[in-house]
Amino acid sequence: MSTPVSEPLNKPLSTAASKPRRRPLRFPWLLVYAIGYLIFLYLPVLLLPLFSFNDGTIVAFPMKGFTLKWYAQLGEQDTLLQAMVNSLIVGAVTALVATSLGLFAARAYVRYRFKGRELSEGLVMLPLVIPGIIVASSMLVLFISLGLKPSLTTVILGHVFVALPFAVSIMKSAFDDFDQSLEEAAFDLGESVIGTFRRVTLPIVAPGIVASLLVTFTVSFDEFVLAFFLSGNQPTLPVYIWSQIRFPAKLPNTLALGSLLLLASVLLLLTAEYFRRRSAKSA
Amino acid sequence: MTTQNIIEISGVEKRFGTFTAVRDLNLTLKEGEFFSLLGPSGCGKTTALRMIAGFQDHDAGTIRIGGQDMEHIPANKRPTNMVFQSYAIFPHLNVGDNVAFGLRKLKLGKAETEERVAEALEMVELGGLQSRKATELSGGQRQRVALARALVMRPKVLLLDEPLSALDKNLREAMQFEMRRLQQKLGITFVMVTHDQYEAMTMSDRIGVMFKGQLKQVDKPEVLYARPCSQEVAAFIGGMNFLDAAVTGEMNGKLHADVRGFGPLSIDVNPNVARRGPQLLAGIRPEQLEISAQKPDGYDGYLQGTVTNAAFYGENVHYHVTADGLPQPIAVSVPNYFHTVDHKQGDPVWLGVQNASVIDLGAREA
Amino acid sequence: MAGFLRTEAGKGLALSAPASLYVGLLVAAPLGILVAYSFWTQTYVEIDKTLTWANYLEAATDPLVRHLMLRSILIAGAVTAATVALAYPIAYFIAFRTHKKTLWLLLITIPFWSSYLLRVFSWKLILGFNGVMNSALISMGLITEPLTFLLYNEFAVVLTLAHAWAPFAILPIYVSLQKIDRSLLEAATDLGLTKLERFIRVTLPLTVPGIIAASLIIFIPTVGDYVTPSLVGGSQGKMVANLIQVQFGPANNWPLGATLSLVAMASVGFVAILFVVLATALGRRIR
Repeated sequence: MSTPVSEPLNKPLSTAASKPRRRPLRFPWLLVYAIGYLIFLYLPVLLLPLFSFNDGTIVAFPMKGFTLKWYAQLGEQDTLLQAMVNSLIVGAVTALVATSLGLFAARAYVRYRFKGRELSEGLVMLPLVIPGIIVASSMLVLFISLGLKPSLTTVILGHVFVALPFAVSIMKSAFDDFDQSLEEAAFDLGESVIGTFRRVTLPIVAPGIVASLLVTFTVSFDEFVLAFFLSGNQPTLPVYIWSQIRFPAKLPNTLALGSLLLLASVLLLLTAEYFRRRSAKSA
Repeated sequence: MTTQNIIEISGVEKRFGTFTAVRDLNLTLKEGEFFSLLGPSGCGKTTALRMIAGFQDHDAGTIRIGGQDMEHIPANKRPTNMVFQSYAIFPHLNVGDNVAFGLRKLKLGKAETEERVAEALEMVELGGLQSRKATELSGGQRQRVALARALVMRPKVLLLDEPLSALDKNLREAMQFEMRRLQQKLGITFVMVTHDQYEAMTMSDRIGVMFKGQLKQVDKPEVLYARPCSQEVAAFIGGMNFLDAAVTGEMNGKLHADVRGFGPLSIDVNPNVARRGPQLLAGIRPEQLEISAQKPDGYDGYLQGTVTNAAFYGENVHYHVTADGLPQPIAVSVPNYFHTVDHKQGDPVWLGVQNASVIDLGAREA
Repeated sequence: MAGFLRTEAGKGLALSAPASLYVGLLVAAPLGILVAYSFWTQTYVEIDKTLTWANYLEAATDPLVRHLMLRSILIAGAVTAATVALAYPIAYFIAFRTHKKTLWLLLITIPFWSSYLLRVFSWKLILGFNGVMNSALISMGLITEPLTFLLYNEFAVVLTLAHAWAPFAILPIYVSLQKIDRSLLEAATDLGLTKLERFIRVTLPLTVPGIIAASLIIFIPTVGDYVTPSLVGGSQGKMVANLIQVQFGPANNWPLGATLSLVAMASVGFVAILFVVLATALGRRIR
């Protein structure tokens, strides 16, 4: 579990109608606070890459020389590579399943008025507020009772559950900006129901779909507690990292790995944000 | 113009839960006609249009287009096309692809498709703009693309849902004439839904007025204006003074009545009126009254009163005149000839009216 | 049936069914099984399916359970209060004091797309005895001995989680601030209120829904957080999730683990409802 749904991001500019007056003479307390807060937010995140280049196994000042050897060593670790492959598989499948479920559900919520809509909308958001340990333990018990051994499959089942609220809310905002008469126009011009979906609906919400795929992938890729309970002897990357954290000698490698993951996550999410905005703009 | 019927609607009804949106709708439209459904918002006119288009099923009655029963025929199989209120221009396609959207389904071949798209864009004066992005269009251009996209399908009937409501006033007036010209040139039946009486009157061959799910009157604009069937229709189209009158006799299609304030007048019987009773409601359009400081010559009825309000409207001047025994002031509208407001608040004035200007509206509604 | 599927209600239900069934089943089925397990007992690998209240009795009487449960709720409460209090000024700043709203919102969300596990781990490195903070302070000459109160206690847990949940607090509060019609604020000033009075009597009450949303979305998962207490909590900072994990892991007592999960969930629900009722009432008291 990582971050809230970035839904509000597309609203601010449009609603910033009345601008606060500038008061040049007052000391900008809030701005100073905001900058301090940003430092607090970024400190632990930037620390990992910083010390990943440190030529020493202890994370403390003063720093020793610069080195890339911790990164070089990563490539030699087979268990790490296996965990990476596991995480990629789990992330990709989770993203596909959660986004498909989210696509249909979001369309139903935005387009149709039906009994139980609010109940259903609330239900799919539920995973966001159930403590991870309870989701993890209860799913473990369920899957064992059903005779499903802990494996990547059970991790995927669990990750789809926690990724679904993200997929639904991203797809909902994609459909929110979608004028219903566009579909009626296509239908009116002789297109079939499926053709209308393919030629009109899909292209217009496509950026939302891409954003949802990227976000749900990242949610799954970073998730630890569920994977810890449900992965059995097929660790995902966070589970692998957890096992490495205990060993001080492995610390620099973990830092290097963490830095790479950080970079990948940020790149993925900036891409997702780009697509999400494009979807907001085009509609 | 042929006289073939293109749309025949009989006994159509539409309910949403317990709410009846359209009840007992009967309407026959001729080929090549420009027809408007006029009414306040929520009167059921859009629902009626959407039932013709096939976006909504009707619960009772039949809809025939070109002689064919439309029951269970979905919107994509009907010989109608629609211009949406929001225009529904596909944002991911350029102008040319928007117009060609429905043609692609007909598998016409590239050359013919392009030719028809070009022709349609020419028609709406957007020739050569095929590659313009949909998101770069102005409101007026969007409206034209929506028209071209529907007309390129060569529908038997073009349906227009409040097609001008998203445009500003000047553009709206220009488009009224342009759409009328286009419709006459193509000879296609247009069915337009609007809440704007002037829009309906300037463009339509006939207008249907709807209230609370019911079609109250269908007539040519000038007949609707001169012979409305009831008080509510009269009040919705143009300004109208309503005056109670006592009928004293009827002879040769004329009602002799004592009209409150104006005295005895002879009123043409209005054949459209549905409700009859001992009391008569007489209607007089504000612009059909003469207003003068001295008693004017040559009128059939007079009223002496006082100006309570005078307002300059540009093309005309509006007065409110009260007199003893009148529950409401009488509105008078005078063309602006000399840029002057001749009567001030508090001035004593005479009003004069001709027999022919008084409209028989039947019994007053409860 | 085919007719129903063509109606609006039918289409809506059919399209939303897969998602809601998925979540519904994965909430209901595990819960049902947890409930079943909580009435069973386990000796080594054998599950004894005789129904018994033994686990609940143990949960109710064991001082460790009560202690951890209470501490979890207190820590979660502290985390919620700290996060919301730290986040409110930021949300206010973004809503009212900057034109670059999108940029600030992006800046605030970016760090949270990195792995939660690694962020918590990073705090451990910062706060440790030989960690970044202590070594930096020593090399600057501000202290001579490493500070020991930084890591392995409740403070470390609260600090780490206040960091982890930051955007969950900022975004809902920001949205509720952004929704405030600016003319309301002008009206309040026009009616003679000072800036502070205006904030207390107009802005704050209008953001109560945002504060409640932020609090719930932080409080509930925090009670059951596992990673943070494990990494930075030490023995003082352990929470109920650690105990639950032990039952499902090393101790291999699933029935007790199930019972603890259910008890934790019930307590969280109870506190959350209490909080919503109190906060709503408090928001209405402001006139």
